Amino acid sequence: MCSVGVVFLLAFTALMASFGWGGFLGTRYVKPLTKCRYDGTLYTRRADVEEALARLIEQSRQEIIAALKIRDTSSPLYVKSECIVYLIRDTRHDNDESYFNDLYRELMRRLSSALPRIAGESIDVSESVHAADARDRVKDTFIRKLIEDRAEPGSALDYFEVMFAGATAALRTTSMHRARRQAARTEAIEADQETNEPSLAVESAVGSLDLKEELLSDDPIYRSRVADAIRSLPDKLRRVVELIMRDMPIDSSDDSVMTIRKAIGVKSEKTVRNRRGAAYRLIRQALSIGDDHD
Amino acid sequence: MTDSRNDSAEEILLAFAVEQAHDNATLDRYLQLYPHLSGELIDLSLDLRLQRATGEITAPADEAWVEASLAAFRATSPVQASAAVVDPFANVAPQELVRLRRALDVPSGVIQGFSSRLVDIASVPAWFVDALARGLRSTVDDLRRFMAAPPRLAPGISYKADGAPSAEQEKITFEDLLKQCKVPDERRQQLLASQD
Repeated sequence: MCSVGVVFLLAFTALMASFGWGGFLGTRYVKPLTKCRYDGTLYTRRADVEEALARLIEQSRQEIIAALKIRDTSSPLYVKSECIVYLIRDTRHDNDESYFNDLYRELMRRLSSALPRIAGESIDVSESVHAADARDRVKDTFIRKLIEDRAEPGSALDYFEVMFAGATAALRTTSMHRARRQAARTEAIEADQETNEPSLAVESAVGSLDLKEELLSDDPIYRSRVADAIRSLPDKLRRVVELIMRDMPIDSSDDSVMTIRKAIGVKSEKTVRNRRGAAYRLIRQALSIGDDHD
Repeated sequence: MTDSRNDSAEEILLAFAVEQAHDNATLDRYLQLYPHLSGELIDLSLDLRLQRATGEITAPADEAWVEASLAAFRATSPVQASAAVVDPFANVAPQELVRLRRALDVPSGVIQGFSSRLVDIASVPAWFVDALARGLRSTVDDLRRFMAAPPRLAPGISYKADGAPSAEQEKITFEDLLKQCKVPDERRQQLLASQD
């Protein structure tokens, strides 16, 4: 189904080219994405991205370069990251090096901004080795994809035109996993408490702390601290936290129901509870919040 | 995704990342289909949640990192195939150039500004570049590639001077070219405007 769609698109594109850009549509057009979903349908950009692109392709490069300097994301002239990906891909047969460099630099700034730093560390101090390593891996992966896209137009970068921040997060996830595998890091929770009974301390650590609510705080600095505290957790604890925030049941006698125990691949629900307790205790420590019993 | 065991983990995570909704039903579906990626999918789900929570807090860009990545791109990128740059003006008869400048409603000096590569193509509205490329029976890409090179002496122009003529060293903006060619204000504004 998708291949039919792509063939149609290519034919349509060729038809437009044969008429010239202004031949019968009266305007230049934004090239559609060619990546297919698993169900065979084509990916599409968000409506706001399409509208922005329709405006951008009518502008001179000078105007676009000037707009790249706008940092206020609420400005109507702000160039969305998804649009920068489109524009840089559109320079495939271009040797205007200065224009490419400006687009590339801004894209890398956006990429860098979309990659979180761990444990509240700022740019001028050393950060988590894994996060720094992952950022470089994301950069390398993105560069590889860009080079491939320039050599032979493909659809690998289409995801970045659909949702730049999300696609960047996906690359970061795979990069973090590779970095950890290579480093063969031993996590603090490695001696898993599969058979341990949850202690009262572990249970009370959860208490009334609702992380979903904390992440909705009006204070952006506090939200950032909560996010950092969660990101800093060992993998096994962090994953339980995410599933708890999703209100996924810890366990169920119904095999068709997805549970935390099944999702994280452990035998006992007690292991889930232990990890949940350990995670919340660490988060409380990071946020300087005492247990409910304190 | 129905039977995509061969899909790379990266592709699957990218597909999850750009899903319109990241609700429980979506995560459940991916966990059921790709149990071997459960850790990565949960990590990504959390990352997207934290990204939404802290989206407006942006760290200052690490300019050194940005420059290093540009250098890395240049180092990794295969040398641009130096495909012969086609001169879009080479096979266009003088009469055709006259017709073109009339169609574009510009003086001949403006056309010469392009044929001599004097004008910085980045300063020219996209619609004009398209119109010129079509008038030259060329393509926008070919015209831009040609214009990216340094200025040259315009072909087919006679020079009267004591010394040998030489090309300009620096390019000028489209606006300056129009001014030099004494294009009236009103027409100049039309030519500089982005066509909506």
